[in-house]
Amino acid sequence: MNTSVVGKNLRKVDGVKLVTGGAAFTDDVQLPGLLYGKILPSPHAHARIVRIDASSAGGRARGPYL
Amino acid sequence: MFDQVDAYHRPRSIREAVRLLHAGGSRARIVAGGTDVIVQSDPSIRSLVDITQLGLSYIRKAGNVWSIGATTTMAELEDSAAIRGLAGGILAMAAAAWGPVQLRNVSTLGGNLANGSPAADTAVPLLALDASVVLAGASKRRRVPLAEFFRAPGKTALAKELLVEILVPAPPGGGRWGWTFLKLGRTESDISLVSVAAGLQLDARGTCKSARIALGAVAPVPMRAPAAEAILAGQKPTRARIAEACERVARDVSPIADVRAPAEYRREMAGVLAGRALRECAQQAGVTP
Amino acid sequence: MKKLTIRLTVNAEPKEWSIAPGDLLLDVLRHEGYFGAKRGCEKGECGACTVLVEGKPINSCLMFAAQADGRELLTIEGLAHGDRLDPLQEAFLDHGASQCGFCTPGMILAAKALLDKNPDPSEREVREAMTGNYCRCTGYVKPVEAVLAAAKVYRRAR
Repeated sequence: MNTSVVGKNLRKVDGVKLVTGGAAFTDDVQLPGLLYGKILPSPHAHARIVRIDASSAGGRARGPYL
Repeated sequence: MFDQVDAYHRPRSIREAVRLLHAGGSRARIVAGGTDVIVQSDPSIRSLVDITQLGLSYIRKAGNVWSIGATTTMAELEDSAAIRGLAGGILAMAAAAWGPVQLRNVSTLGGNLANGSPAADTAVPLLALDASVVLAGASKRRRVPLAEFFRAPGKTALAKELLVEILVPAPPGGGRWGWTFLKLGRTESDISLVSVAAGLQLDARGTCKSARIALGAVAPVPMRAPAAEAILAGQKPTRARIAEACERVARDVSPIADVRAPAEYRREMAGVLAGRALRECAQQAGVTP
Repeated sequence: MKKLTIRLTVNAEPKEWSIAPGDLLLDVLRHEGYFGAKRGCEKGECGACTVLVEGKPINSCLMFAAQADGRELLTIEGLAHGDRLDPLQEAFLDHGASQCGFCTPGMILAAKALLDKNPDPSEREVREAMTGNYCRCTGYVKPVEAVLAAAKVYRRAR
């Protein structure tokens, strides 16, 4: 049986990027105007959202995006 | 993390460094390696005073006293032939076991002491060697025995001063000395659960002329164990004698419980490590207990 | 709050950067595009942020950028020579020493510092030198193997 993969020592397809410090992880992605999201969990179980007051985020929150 | 810091100073003289420390008050911090300052992440810090340009990285001997500059790193201590030859190399051992190489390359002896942690590994061999520290204030310097330097966890004798030098007297000659440093941690690079430095000086008949036992991480400050030392002084270091001294060590420590270990475990391990250390010292000094 | 200028060498290239006094080296490096230094524990335990300063491994998360003024840095991006990978990088690839790869830059740099100082380390010495590089994927066996293999290649090349 001719095999091209089985039993061969193969390098990972992204291997070179990993050993040379290439941008491979989420935090390595830098785009202009990048937004950072933060999850605010509800302190109440099974509650229904009536209104969201984002004023204490100091004007830096955009959205909220649901 | 430190976006409130508004100044990073690199003074060229100790006087200037102390002046900046005074000027900054409680919001100024000394930076040598920087590892403690950054980890502690105190948001009230406004100015940083970098003391690495003050020429305080050295290891010298004058007469019978070794003087080590405060910004000498753990890696430098570990690699120094002189420190490896001093008292069986116990200070070099403490520096080598101090943490991973990345930290040993930047963390300094002065910083480890000034941080005032009860678990400061380098304090333990230094206490066993009756070391003292030189503190530079605005107008004068003073020399404080290390045994008086540590006051409480995180609190030292520093009063708006810079720790500039550590002085280590060569151990008294005569007879044969055996020295060792042992550390117990959850991993090799962990902060100590218990650390012990011990030295035994035996005369030609195998009687103990001098015993030194120092411990870290088992009391509010790094400590000596004088009552245990007294049990050995003037006696032959037999297994029974050593065991008696270790029992005393275990009684005399006052460990706390924390995330790393319960107090009782530390107390028991203090005795165990002291025993191993003392037997090792006796062996080195030519007697098998 | 006044900005500072630091002048340093990164991967043999002179750099001049404007920083805030409290900036950490890790943040500045990543801001300047050196993403190989990773943000891991941010307290000097995991070693994912390791870079070499004058050949010595340090945790860039525990260094103020201002401390790098006048220094020579090597990051993982500077290890390969163009397309030619360093034997350590080759060995990590060939021995399966990278899984997710997050710890890899730090490990390779720590290993490089070791091999530059000690060209024929024992396994124990390799493990000791890499004590400050944590890996959640590989269990350390393959990285240690890779370092020992790379050491052989380095020695043959001398």
